[in-house]
Amino acid sequence: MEKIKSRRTTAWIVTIIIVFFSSGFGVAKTAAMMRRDAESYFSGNNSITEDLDTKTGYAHNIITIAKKYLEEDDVKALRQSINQMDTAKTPSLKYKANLQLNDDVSQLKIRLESLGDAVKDMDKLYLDKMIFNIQSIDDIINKSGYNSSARDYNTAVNSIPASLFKNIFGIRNLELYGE
Amino acid sequence: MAVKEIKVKSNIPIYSIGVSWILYSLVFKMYRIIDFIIAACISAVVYMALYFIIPDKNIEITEPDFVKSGDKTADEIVERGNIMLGELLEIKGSIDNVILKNNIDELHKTGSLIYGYVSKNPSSAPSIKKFNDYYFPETVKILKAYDEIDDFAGKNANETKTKIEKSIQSMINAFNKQLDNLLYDKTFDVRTDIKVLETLLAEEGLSGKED
Repeated sequence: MEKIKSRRTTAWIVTIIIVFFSSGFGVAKTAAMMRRDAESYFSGNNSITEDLDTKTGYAHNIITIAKKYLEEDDVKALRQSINQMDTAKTPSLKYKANLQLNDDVSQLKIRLESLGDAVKDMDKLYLDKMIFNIQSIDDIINKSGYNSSARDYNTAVNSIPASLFKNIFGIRNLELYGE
Repeated sequence: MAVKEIKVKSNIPIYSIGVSWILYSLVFKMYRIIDFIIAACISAVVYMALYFIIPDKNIEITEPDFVKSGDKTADEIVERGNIMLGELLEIKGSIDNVILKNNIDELHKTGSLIYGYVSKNPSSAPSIKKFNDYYFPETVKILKAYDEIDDFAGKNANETKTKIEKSIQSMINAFNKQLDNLLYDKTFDVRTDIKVLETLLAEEGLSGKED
């Protein structure tokens, strides 16, 4: 009789362990899916990273125009911003690099405008077009679904019951882009 | 001997809860409270369904039936012995070793004879006091230990089980010796009666033996 009781107790203990770990597995699996979905807005096709790469391309073009009229030292800051953008991998670093790049593009534009008629009209037009494109990209990024997906993910993994398994199963929050 | 039938519930419904959770976590999203409630409901339904579908397992336990003698000491000893005999059968029912099962049967049979005799001859109760207070409880304790480690296969568990299997013969001998000692007074009286009867018959010339 004791053995029968002990087998029943063992069955309940094993079941509780199975329920706990399968719940944790379920949470981890769901979190991984949500994370992948959110990250695809940041690093997949038509993602923020891809838009920022296009933006750095425009920044290179601006440097090319600026080099016709300015010294290397004048474009050095923008070059560094481009490098910073290329090496940045996380959303927060990309965001910081983007702000810096916008800042440096504005500075360079002011510098070129200060040259007045020394800058050819065609270059002025081209420069305006590049700056317009850069601003358009920022608009596109602002409308990206990344932040809202990342927020949904963070809310999900930080709410009970998922939060109970968060640390045990190594589930991490997602960084937001610029917030 | 009274045969007692115990109904034992299957453990499969319990394990089905775990299986339901595993399947749910594999197939569906699981992070909101509602997901956990749905999984709990599904596993509860599966548990209940299997609980009623899977029939109970019947286990038979035979218990010796002793009549109270009216002697307090003897009845206490017999009652305790009765409990221990029942425990022997429970152990027998849950272990797998067939030889050990047969040996426990033998212990049970001899034990039943001892307590059956004491219940009919309460004056003999003091002579099994040590048996009742020490030898039999120790035997049950050792066999319970065997029962507990029966499912394990480690080195220590195997060594201990082998030792218990070997020592069971000593226990059987001790039980038989105890029964024999218990019957000594009775057999002595009978032998004396036979001797007296034979002597008288011989004196009267009725023994059929010629001088």
